[in-house]
Amino acid sequence: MRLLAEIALVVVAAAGAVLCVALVPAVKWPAARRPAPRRTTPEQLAKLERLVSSAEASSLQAHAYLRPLLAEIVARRLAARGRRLESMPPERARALLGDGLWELVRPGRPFPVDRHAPGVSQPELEAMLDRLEAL
Amino acid sequence: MVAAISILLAVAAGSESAVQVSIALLALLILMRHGDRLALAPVYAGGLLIVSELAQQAIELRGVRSVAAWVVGARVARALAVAAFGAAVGAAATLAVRVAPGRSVAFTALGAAALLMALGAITWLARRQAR
Amino acid sequence: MTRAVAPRVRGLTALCGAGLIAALASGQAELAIIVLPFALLVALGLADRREPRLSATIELERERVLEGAATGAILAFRNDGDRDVTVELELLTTRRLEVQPASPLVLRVGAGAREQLELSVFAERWGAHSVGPVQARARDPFGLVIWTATIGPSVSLRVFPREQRLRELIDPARTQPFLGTHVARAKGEGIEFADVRPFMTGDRVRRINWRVTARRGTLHVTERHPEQASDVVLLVDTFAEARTGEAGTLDDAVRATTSLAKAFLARRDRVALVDFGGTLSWLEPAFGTTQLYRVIDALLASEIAFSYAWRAVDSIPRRVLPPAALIVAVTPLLDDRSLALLLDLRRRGRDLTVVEVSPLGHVAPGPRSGDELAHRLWRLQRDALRLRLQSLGIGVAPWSPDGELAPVLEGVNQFRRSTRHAARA
Repeated sequence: MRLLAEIALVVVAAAGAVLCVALVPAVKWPAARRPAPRRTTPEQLAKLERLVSSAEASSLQAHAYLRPLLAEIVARRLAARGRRLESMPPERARALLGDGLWELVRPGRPFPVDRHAPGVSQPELEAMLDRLEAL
Repeated sequence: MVAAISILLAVAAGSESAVQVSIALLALLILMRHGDRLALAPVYAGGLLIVSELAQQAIELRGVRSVAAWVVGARVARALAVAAFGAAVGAAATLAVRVAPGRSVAFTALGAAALLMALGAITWLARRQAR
Repeated sequence: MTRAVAPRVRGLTALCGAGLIAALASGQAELAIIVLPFALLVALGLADRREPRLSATIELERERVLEGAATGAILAFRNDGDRDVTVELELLTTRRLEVQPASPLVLRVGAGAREQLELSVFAERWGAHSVGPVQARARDPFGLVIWTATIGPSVSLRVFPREQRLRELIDPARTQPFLGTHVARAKGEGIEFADVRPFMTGDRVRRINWRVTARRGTLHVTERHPEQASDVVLLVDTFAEARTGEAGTLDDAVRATTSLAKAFLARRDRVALVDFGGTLSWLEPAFGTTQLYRVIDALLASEIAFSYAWRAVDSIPRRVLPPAALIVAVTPLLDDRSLALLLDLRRRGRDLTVVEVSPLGHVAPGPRSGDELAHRLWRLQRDALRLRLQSLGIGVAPWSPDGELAPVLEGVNQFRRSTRHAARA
């Protein structure tokens, strides 16, 4: 009997103690340090990053979006040397641009028949960029 | 030894609660080892308080670049004062306990009531202060 | 000041509670005695309700500095309370200002006393900065109660952009008569030396260059540039920028614009400023040092304001874009809207030159596969854009911030001269 009473008292006291501790207000200090430097990708570049992956996945995307961009770059670089792609014989153009790039940007390239075929893979694109940079 | 290491680790981690847990651990270990615990308890109490305060101050002043004069000294002096006072009160309590009769429900009830009053008072002061 | 109870109060209370419960349960008094001092500590600490009374002042050694320079600052604190206070301080500043010694700092101020701290403020980037206020955190003597407040004033610090000295500038296509008093003297009279040539019938005697005449044995005269000024409009593109962390193309653009403004104004040209972007603001053309300070102040306030608004040339008042003015656009060419503006200006026959602030230094290729290719494609696309603008007769000076501005402007001048010759031919 006595033991039970003592245990009960101890339990009550313990509960009260826990309650008291819980009621003590605790403040969390904010860490408040400088945020890590963010990298913002300009929208111009972000668009191209999306284009590279979408042109790889779909020949339609490659034809509709990548082709005009590369064609413009080719035209400008040739124009700076006083030349035009349209006025060049195809063999000459092919030799200058390389097979992959010529196939993509040649005037009159038809719309891809199979829209779900893969487009321009990254190694192919890399080869084209190498040629462009050499122009 | 283990407790001492854990205090150092707690200070290194900068966690105030870890310090308290370590102090508790240390207290427990000290009490378990010694024979005449009652007599030495006040002394250990004072010592533990000082260790706790020093650890706390080490955590608080971490990352702070420039500390003007007096800062550390004043706090330590106060800690020593409280430790001494606490040890004195503890010594008085020790005497009272030696004189007191053995265990009984009445004393347990008294003890529980005293405990609740003490903690309740602390909680009340804390909440009053924070408002 | 705002009061808060330190986090460790809860921990200490728990410790006391645990000790007392253990003592109660086990009947060992020493468990209670050992936590007694802690309970006393907490009770004494929390019982004290006196609030510290602190005030602060901030004084800067200089209120205008150049980018990359430092100035001293004195932080003074007064404790008007009746107790010593230990206070932790954090000096709040705008970004890109570095304070030494760095926050947080700890200071102890006696009751009724005054303490001061000497700091050094280093300006990393131009702008209208502010130093202060101070975030103060005072603890009670036992470290159990924390008082926080923001005290002190906010003092402004204007940091001017770094400039590059430019000896050669872009030559305008057309000059215009000096406005005001000197029209009659404008015909061929001036003070700037142009050339020395042999004497011809009709030349005025006062223009004979005696030194050259003596050396060569035949009469020679000095030719001077006519005293004419030109209008220059500096157009800063704030639509978009490329940024890595703390530095971006706008920072470079403002520095370049400051160098250009200073050089044009030193040449006694009239300079106007247009901040063209999410927000549109401008300064009308004027001469002199006062205009330089106005331009710098306006530039200090420029920020990239994100906006979807489309702006046309017509949004800019006519008086800010004089008809014969040389327009120098300082832009990273990242936004279609700025490109549209440039093309529109060209279509209207304006004399336009572009200083292209290269974003390449601020944008590295992304981590995914294909991002490297996209980055190369981006560079090629930008090259093509530059060629396109040049084909329209717009001189483009691609400038990388770690390079010199002067050689780049020289290149543009050559381009402009060659297009003028081609146009005449």
